Amino acid sequence: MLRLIASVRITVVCLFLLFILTFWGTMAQVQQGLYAAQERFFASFFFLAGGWFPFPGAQLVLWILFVNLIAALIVHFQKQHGWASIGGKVTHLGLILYFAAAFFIFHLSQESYVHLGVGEQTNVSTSYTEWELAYWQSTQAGHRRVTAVDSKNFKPGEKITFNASHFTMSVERYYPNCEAFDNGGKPQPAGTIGLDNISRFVLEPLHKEREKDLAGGIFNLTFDGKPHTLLLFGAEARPTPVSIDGKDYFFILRHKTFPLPFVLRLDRFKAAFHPDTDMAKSFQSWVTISTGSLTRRVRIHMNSPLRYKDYTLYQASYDTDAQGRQYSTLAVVRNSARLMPYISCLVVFIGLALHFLIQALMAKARL
Amino acid sequence: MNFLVFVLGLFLLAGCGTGAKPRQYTELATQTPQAPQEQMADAATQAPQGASNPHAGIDMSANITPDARANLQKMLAQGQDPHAGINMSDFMAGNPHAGLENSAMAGEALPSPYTWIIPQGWKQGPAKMMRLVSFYKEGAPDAFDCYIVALPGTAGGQEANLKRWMGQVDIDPSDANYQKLLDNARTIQTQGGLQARFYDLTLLQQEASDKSMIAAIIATGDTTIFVKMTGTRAHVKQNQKGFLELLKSLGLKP
Repeated sequence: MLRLIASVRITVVCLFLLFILTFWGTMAQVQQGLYAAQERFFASFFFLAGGWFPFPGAQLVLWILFVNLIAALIVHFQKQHGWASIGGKVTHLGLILYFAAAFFIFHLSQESYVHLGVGEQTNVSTSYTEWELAYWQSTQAGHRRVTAVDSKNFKPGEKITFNASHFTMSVERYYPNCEAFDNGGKPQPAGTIGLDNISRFVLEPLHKEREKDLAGGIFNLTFDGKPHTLLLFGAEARPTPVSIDGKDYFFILRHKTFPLPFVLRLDRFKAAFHPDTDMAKSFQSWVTISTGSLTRRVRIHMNSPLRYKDYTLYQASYDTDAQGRQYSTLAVVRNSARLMPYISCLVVFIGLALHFLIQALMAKARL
Repeated sequence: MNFLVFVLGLFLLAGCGTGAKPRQYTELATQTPQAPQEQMADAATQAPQGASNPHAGIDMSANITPDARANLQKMLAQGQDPHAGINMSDFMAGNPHAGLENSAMAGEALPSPYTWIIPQGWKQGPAKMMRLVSFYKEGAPDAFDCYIVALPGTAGGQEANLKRWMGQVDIDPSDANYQKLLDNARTIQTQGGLQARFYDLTLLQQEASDKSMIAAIIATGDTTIFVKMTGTRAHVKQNQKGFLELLKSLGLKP
């Protein structure tokens, strides 16, 4: 049985399927968008090709390949003993480490961005596609203490566990992408709280590029012993103020926000273009990163990211507002397993080096 | 057996972090624009007891001399208007527009107090006459005419404007058609927090109409902003998505 699982035929079929998935998934990004194609081809166990034919997704193929590799390693150990086979075993171990690295990066890495104008600073980054429901009380000395929950799995009737002492909150309805409408110019019904007279949402299909979606939510908010309806719309950049027990609370539905272990300030930005075109040649951001004990100035440009602990900040894009103010967008990737692929590569290198060295020494001894 | 437990553990790890558990973090307040009430609340917490100072919380130390600060504090404590008695002619003397008869009518660009993001595939044309900005399609500049105009007050009111626009694109400006237009209007929140009312005149027309329009009206209190796109019905429908993207991107200058 173990030998069957360890079959090299399974390895070849899996590698061929990965080749097809990589090619197909890359081509499909043009029509389906980056996020949808990644979900369909690479993050799934199965998907329906042509709407009816079940085709294995990259997740399933990689798991099979992983099990196949483990079985092959065990068979290798059982069959071959001694120093002569140590190179092959170490190489297998390196490949298994590669899989472990891929697993941890896939499940634990975090992709987000910061968008700063020259002179602005931040200590948080923002998700491209995920949303959160957040609230805070009034801001003190330029800082606010935020409590947030992910809105991804909100279900009607679900109680939101903010653990706040002055109010309780539950989901009436959550819209992953929607348009907001007012009440035909009439005022909102009594007990309804929401900015700009919003009174209802209409569900819209999700965009191919999920970062364009605008979430909306109707929430039941109970305070002072009375139920209220709170309407929050993701296009609204301002928080909705609610006076609860004599204190101001501010609620907002926004892209998920990740705290950073540093404050990042954009000092200067420069975009260069090819002559007489709008085609960008290069973007450069000069930033100051402060961690409390450390402050340093760094230039971020193409192929030269800023690295700090698990975080890597890449120059992603830029934009200009109508007044000509320049904004720099930096992609923020948090990857706790950042070094694992390098370690795996080193292990595979050592394994192959040992293998060829031992083979060469044995051949020399036989001469 | 041990291997199966390991694999099961990996699967369980993959499912971690999916629950709606509250997270807490501290963020710099510059990241999200504050609601006006929050700004007032913040100012109130930082203002001296008993003072009702609209400038509370603003650190003027870099721009104001100690004497001037003392005078200002004294005036505020006595409830006086610190701006009273300022001779506006001093400011007018430095007006770069002084001497122009009518800059708007002379074709000069009006300074725009608004921000927007140009939709993909569009180009921004120059501001001219009363237009804050015009847009055209890259590679097909005659496909449509899209522009933003801001006028003081209600600029004639919603009904008068909509009926006039209906007449401009050969739609009978009857009460019944006007009501149909209102019934199909949508409210769109812009990224900058403005509330736009979007009117689709193409819904009242035949497919082959050679004149058509989509428009949005944004009432901001003292100003009404008009965002309009005109062209053949086919071109207007084709570019409606870009129009809505432009509309959603509208905001006020900080």
